[in-house]
This record gives sequence, structure tokens and C-alpha cells, in this order.
Amino acid sequence: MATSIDSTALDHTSNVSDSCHFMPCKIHFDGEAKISDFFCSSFKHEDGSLTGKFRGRPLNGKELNVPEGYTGVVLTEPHKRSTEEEDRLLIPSHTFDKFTYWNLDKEPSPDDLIERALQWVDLSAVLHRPLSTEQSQDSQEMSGQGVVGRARTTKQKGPYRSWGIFAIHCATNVPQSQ
Amino acid sequence: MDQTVFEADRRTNCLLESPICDRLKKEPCWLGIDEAGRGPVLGPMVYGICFSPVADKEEFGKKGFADSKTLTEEQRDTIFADINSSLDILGWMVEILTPTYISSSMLRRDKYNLNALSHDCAIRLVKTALDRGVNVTEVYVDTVGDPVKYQAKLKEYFPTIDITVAKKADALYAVVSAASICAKVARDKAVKNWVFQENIHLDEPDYGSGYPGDPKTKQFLQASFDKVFGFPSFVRFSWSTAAIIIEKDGVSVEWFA
Repeated sequence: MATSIDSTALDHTSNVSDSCHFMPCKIHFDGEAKISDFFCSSFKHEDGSLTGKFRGRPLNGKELNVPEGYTGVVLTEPHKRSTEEEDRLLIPSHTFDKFTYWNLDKEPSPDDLIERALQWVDLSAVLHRPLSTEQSQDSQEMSGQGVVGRARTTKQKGPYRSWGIFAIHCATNVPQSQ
Repeated sequence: MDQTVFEADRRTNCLLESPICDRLKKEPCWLGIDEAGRGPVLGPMVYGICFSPVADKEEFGKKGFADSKTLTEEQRDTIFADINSSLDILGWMVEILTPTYISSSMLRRDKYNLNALSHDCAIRLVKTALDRGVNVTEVYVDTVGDPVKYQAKLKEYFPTIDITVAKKADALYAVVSAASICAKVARDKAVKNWVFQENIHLDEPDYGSGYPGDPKTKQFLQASFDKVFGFPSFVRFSWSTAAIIIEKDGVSVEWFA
């Protein structure tokens, strides 16, 4: 039922900032892959833009930094649970403070979901900021005037709804060392 | 043919050209266009042009720059050497379109089909010849797609030039045949000297003709297959031959909108 992350393992992780790629597709595979040979070899830097290819398709890439105060974590699940009632234990194997995201044949822009998701991180910090005791006393009277008590989650299409899930989603392919 | 520039980066299209003598800039010239490597699933497609003064048509015809399906690679190389030592009466250019370029053009969101790609390459070469100062007054080219539409398209770009789009143009016009030699020699060399950016090493370095039906080509596709990435960039992913193998044996990949 509960999902926990063994944070003690964070001390033993290596940084993979240079080899973390957020792809515009779901690859139904977990395991070793020849990323440097087949993917990184396709990269081209031209006029400040980055392009690559995956299975012949043109991709446009952009490097993003993990927001200030956050760390990107690659999580592994050594023992998959057999039922949903069991607890899940995730172990950090790598960390990253930046990554490259890729669009399928589309220039990267601030409208891209991943950029909006990272903006949400800053927004949520503001929205979830604890109210002072003074404010919370008044909030009963002020409720009609729309004082923020609970943040509304923005509905977003895509495989993630919050930063927490994003960290797990990056875990699927552990990049091989070069 | 020196392909050092192409070999420096096989992911990028490459223009190779001969020097152009003054006669070709002063006198009216006829120009032939042909291509090589359109059908294969492996390697680049190459477009070639050859141009020569209209006044020398008869002399040109006698030079024997005739391409044919029966020529061996060595025979073609010899003819190309002749072409390349006749730069007092002709010039040539080839554009090597990489398999990467072909795949990504045909697989991008705004699909760019092979015919359109071919037309644009031919147009680009003629434009380049004109930019270099060649006095082109007649163009001869083999049909790609609908000949009427192709002729109209070329006429639109080159209104003052006499355009002839004809089936079997390489058999009818010596300058098209010469262009065909240049294109084939370029393609053959590019394929023969291919170095894989993917760092793969094969037991059998012979890819065959590169056509999907060729047993050596089929063998190469099996040998170079990777279940995550599909194939090295030498393979045209937009060809159904490649797509079918990936669909059947590759891991499943779902592209987001």
C-alpha cells in the first residue's frame, strides 16, 4: 500500500546529468541499451539548437535544469510486488540536476508539457505556503472571498501529474556508462 | 571522386562539384539530371548533373559517357575518370542525400515524400549551377512521378530555360547519361566507404545492392538490427522493409502526440 524511497541510498548514487533523456515516446523496455552508440551519435548542435534521431524520426532537444532546491532521482525497484496491497520500496540509483527533453519534430517551447510541469513546481511552492496563524483565523470569515486553502491541481495531459511521480517516471531506463 | 567532405560527417547532405571553366559561363549549355540509389533501403540517394556547351553536343555524344545497367562498378569508375578529365568541355555536380535525411524527411510530422524530395534536389542542383554562373539554356531530366506536373514545376522555377522531361532520358540524351554516371559513382563510393557512427562491426562487410530483395541486404538488416534502436542510420527507416522488421522484432515504442 505504501510507497517509500530509501533516501539513505542517495549517498551512494552517481550523477548522470549528461545522459538523462526525456523522450517523446513510451519505450516498452527496461534494461541495457546502446544509447551512446545509437542515440548520442545522432546529435547535432547547429545555431544554438539541438537535434537527434530515434528510429529515424527527427527529434528536437533542449536541456533543462532541475528546479532550484530539487534533485532529479533515478529510482530502481529491485523487488516488484505481486499484489497492490504490498508496500513498494524504491531505491535511488542515480541523481541528476539537469536533463535533456526531446520533442518529436517540434521546436522546444515554454508551452511544452515538461516546461509547464517544472513551472508548476514553483507555483505549488507559493500555493502550498503555510498560512500564518492570523490569516487562518480570518479564513473562516474570508472563505467567501476566495482565500486559498487548497491548491487546485492543473489538469495536464501526459504521464505525470506532480513532481513526485515525475521523479519515478525517469527511472525506467538506467543509462549505461559510456 | 574525392568524398572527404562527405566522409567527415555522413549525417549531413553533401554537395560535390567539379571546377567550372569559363566557356560554360559564356556559352549556352545543355544540362542533364539523373539520380542513383532511389530504391534501396540502404545508404544515400544521389542526384547528379552534368552540363556542357550546346555547340559541342555532337562531340560530347562521341565521348562515350554512356551509362548502362550492364556496366560494372569498375567500368563506371573508368568512364567517370574520363568525364573528370574533360573539364574543358563540361562540368558536373552531385548532391549526396544521406539516409538519415531521407528517413527523417519522410517520417516528420509534415510528411515530405520521396518524389517531392527528389524534385527539390534536382531544382537545387540547377540553381547551384546557375549561381556558379553556368549559362544553362536547356535542361533534360528523367521522369519522377507525373512527367507533366514535373515539367510544369521545373518551368515555374526556370521560366527562361528549355525543359525536357522524358522517360529514359539517360538513353536519349548524352548529358543525362553522363549525369547518371556521376550519380552512380558517387553513390557506390559512399556505400563502399561507409563507416558506422554507431560503432558497429560486421563479419560480412558486403551489403549487396541495398535493394530490399537482395539476400545480402537482408542478411545485413538481420545482422545490424538492434531491438531498441532498430537499425544504424545507414538504413532508411521510412522503408516498409525496415519498418516491418522493427514492428515484428523490436521493442514496442508508442509516440506521444
